[in-house]
Amino acid sequence: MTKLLEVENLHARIAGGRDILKGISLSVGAGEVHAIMGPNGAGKSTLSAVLAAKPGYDVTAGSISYGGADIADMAADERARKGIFLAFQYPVEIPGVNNTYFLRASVNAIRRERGEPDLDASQFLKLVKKKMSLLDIKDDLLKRAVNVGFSGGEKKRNEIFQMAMLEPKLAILDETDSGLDIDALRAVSDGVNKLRDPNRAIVMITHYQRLLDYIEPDFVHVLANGRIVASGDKSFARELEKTGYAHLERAA
Amino acid sequence: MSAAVLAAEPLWLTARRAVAMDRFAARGLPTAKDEAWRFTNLHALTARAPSGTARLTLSAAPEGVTFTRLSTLLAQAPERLEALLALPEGADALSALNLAMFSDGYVLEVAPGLHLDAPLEVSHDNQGRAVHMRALVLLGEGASATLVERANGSGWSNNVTHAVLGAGARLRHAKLQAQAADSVHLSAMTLTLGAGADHESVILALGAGVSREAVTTALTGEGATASLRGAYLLGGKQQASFVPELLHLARNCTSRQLVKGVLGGTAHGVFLGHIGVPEGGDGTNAGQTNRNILLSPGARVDTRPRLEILADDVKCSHSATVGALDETALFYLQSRGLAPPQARRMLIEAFAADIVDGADLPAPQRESLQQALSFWAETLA
Amino acid sequence: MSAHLETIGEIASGSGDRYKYGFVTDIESDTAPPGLSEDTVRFISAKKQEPKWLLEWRLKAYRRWQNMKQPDWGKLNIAPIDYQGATYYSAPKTAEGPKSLDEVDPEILKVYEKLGIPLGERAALAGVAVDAVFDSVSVATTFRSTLAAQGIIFCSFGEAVREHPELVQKYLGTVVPRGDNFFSTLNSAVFSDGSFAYIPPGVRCPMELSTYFRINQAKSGQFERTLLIADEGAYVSYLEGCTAPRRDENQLHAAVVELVALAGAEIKYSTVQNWYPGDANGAGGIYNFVTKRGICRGDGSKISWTQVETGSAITWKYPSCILEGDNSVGEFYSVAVTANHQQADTGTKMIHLGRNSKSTIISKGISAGHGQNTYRGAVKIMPGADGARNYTQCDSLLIGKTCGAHAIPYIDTRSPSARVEHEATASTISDEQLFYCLQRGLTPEESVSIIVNGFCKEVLKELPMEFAVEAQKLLVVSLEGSVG
Repeated sequence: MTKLLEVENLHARIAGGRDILKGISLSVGAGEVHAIMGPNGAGKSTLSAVLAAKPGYDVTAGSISYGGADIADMAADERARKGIFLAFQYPVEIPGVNNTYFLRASVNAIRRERGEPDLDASQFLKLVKKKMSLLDIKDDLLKRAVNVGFSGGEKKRNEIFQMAMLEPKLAILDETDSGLDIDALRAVSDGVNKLRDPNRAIVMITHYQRLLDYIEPDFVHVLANGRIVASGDKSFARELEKTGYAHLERAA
Repeated sequence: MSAAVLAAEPLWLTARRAVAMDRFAARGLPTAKDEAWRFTNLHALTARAPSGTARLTLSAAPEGVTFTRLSTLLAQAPERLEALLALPEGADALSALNLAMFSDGYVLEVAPGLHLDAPLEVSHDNQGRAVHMRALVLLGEGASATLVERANGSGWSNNVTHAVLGAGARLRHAKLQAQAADSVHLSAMTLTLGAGADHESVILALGAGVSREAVTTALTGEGATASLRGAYLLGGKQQASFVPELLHLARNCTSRQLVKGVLGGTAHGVFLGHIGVPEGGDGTNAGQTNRNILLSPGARVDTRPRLEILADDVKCSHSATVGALDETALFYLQSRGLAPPQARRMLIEAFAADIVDGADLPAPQRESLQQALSFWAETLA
Repeated sequence: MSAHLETIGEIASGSGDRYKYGFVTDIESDTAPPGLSEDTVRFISAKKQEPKWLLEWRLKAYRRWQNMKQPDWGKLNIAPIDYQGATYYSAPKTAEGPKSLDEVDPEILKVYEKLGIPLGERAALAGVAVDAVFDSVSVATTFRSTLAAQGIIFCSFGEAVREHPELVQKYLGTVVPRGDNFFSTLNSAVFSDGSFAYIPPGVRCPMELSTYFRINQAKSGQFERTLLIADEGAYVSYLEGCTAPRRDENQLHAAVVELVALAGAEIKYSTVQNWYPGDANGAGGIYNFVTKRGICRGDGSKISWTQVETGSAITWKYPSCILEGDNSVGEFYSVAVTANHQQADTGTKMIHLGRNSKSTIISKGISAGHGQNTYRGAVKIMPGADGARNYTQCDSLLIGKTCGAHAIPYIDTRSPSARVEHEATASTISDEQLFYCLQRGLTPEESVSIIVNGFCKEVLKELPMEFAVEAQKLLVVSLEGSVG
């Protein structure tokens, strides 16, 4: 049976540049948590960008199928409405746009795609309250403009909060742990763990192994020089902890 | 008159002088109707000082560097100047007059790849005359140099400087204008920056009754960087204008303008800043700031920071402020035993100091500018 | 609740009595022959049964105008205007305009639909039933008795001339002098109607006063004149909306608005300007050359201008405040959008004369397509305006590669105790912002709309609620197709 996400021999580049991804293959099934690790420049951010159809990237070979269908021609917003969520490494500031207002527009866009009716203001607030208590989010975050003036930790928490609200089928966490102190990392990881679900796949992309201490993956892949050079299950993560992945990188 | 200023001048120059004189005659001196000159009062020029030559002092040129009087080079190797001594399209009347009338100036040329550690210094003193000085600064690819300029004495200066920086070249330029109070000092500097070239000018307009510093920088190569740091500290009836114009003609260039003014007496400070980003200037990052302090009821500031943007992916900002010395700070200093003039001086200095403190100059040159600022701050306080 | 200036639509339906007695007999002939001469001025004045002093006032303006030149400055590219080809007075004919929505250009209906304007209102905007200054003439007001009970006068300008001549004569031209500039002088000569409001001392106007302006007839210029006076301690909020049908030729709108705030009075003046902007190729559209100025004449008075300018082929206006009273306050909040081939040169002048006078300027310019958007503003602190304060924030947003943004502030300060701060930024909608919105499932158009509305938020929040909603939607409609 095909898995939720099937990446086959994917080659991709920043438009006009040289290939950064040089043949990635990856299958991610519903309910699974995959960690993709690798050094700077390995292609981690390119992979997340290409999965989310960020403009400015070209897929030069290979395929991405999602829910059994090839999504090569699917634009970023369409993918998002189909349940692909990207937690940004650097969440973007949008001055003047209220966080709650933004989130409601987003939630309703996705609901419409699923054939569900829009949430009105009070239904929406109820949902917000529920998810907030789940993730221990302060409500002043909701009154502010999207990511404007947020601390690094607040931005990342806001990303996970959005994930909770949007209930994606596939969540890609791009370096969600970067720039966080230990308390913030714990809070964000707790949030992600609460959002693990048999119907949801999570791909977390990270530079640091410490994240795996907080969010235990089902599978671990090492990305180096645009390719996945090693994969394994939970035990592989523990092995990596001892040996590091520098030797795998060299092998690439 | 104009054509024969220099003996045995090349024919091409004689011809260009004549054309320039015609251009000047056709346009006449700028008036208040001319937006770019609106606030520069040129009435003083109607009583003309006798024209003549400045006393020009140049520091010694290191090896591989041309640093010489323009008249000398014109006599020895005029062919090196033929392409450079020309009237650019759209040059204003005073630039035209400069070409028609200049008798001397200097040339600085640094060979590609050559890094000069020691600054080159030039000082000019008009000795009561009307002087049209012309300067050329040419930095080859990857060359770097520091040029320190001092304008002293009295009279009328109408200076034109052309600078061309090759790809990756780096110029640091500092200018101290401390002419006598009865002087008129008009300066027009135009710079062309190649790819990755990096320029900074620090200009202190402290002297002269009427002064104008126009700095037009064309960023013509990708990734070029330009910075202008300026200060005018004016008292009595002094009037000074800064007219910086930054043209982002290539991609991913960066520019900064920071000009500060302190005005006492019935002095009048003017800032006419301009950032132009025509089509093709994508990726521009430009900032322009003008800050002023008025010390007395008769003092006046006109500031017009201006943006024109026709490109994509641009980040520009400008800001201008006018205010008084901080009363609370003044009181604080007084409560610690400082006399009011001393307290004022301290605050004026503190306000203007970062123009020089943040300048990328060798320590002795920076200190000499700091001393000049400090002296004028004391006069104003 | 708001009081509208009522016009033809209602009159045509039989509810307004002026229609029966004032116009019906000679409605066909109520258009002046094209062209401009002293006779045109006399014709207009006679039609409006004006007193002699006003005719003289108009004639002086006309004579002065003849010796003036159309300004040729700024960034504007203005096709020559044929002043002799225009019609300077046009009272609506019954045959003019569509009779029902079925006759209205479906393109326009689509726009109104997108705006979410209720059906009745849509009809109004499309020129079926109008509650507006329709071309040159306006008539009665609703809520007149409610207002009159408090001594508030709100009527058409023409009516004010007839019924309150002493007020008109006292204030007309005191803020925008008869010969102020080319377009205002033309207006002084040929203005046809407009609105007038007077709020007596200490009265807080209980409802928002509003006028919808509309140019309907081809080849006619609109020259309305508005005069608002808030007497000591009075308060009024005034709304103005503007629309015009699509026509291929350019039409001139040269209005004059004068505001007078006496001691302790406050006037809040809001505009949503959506004149026809011309088509995607730049053909047609309104030339919106408007002179708006207010004077804070008394101590502690306040004038606040808020404008959302999405329409017109060319907008040229600088709603200004003369801050004469001590502790007086001037405000200017502006959003100007230029898409397609629209041009806008707009901003304000804050002239500080009074001690401790304060002004705030918040300007948001949005350029898309081939639009050219210029902020031009002046802040003058005159000697004696001790303790004056100004804060200016002026931001430009560029969408696409072919538009332009310009910021030209003039700051002239002559008081050492004044404080002036000006800040401006210009930026593009960043690819990162767009992608972030897309990734959250918003379409490209929704994404741009949300970012643009966020950019304008500081201004939109100054508008009365209903207007703010309309303005937000207008922003989206006017930028439609600009991204992608």
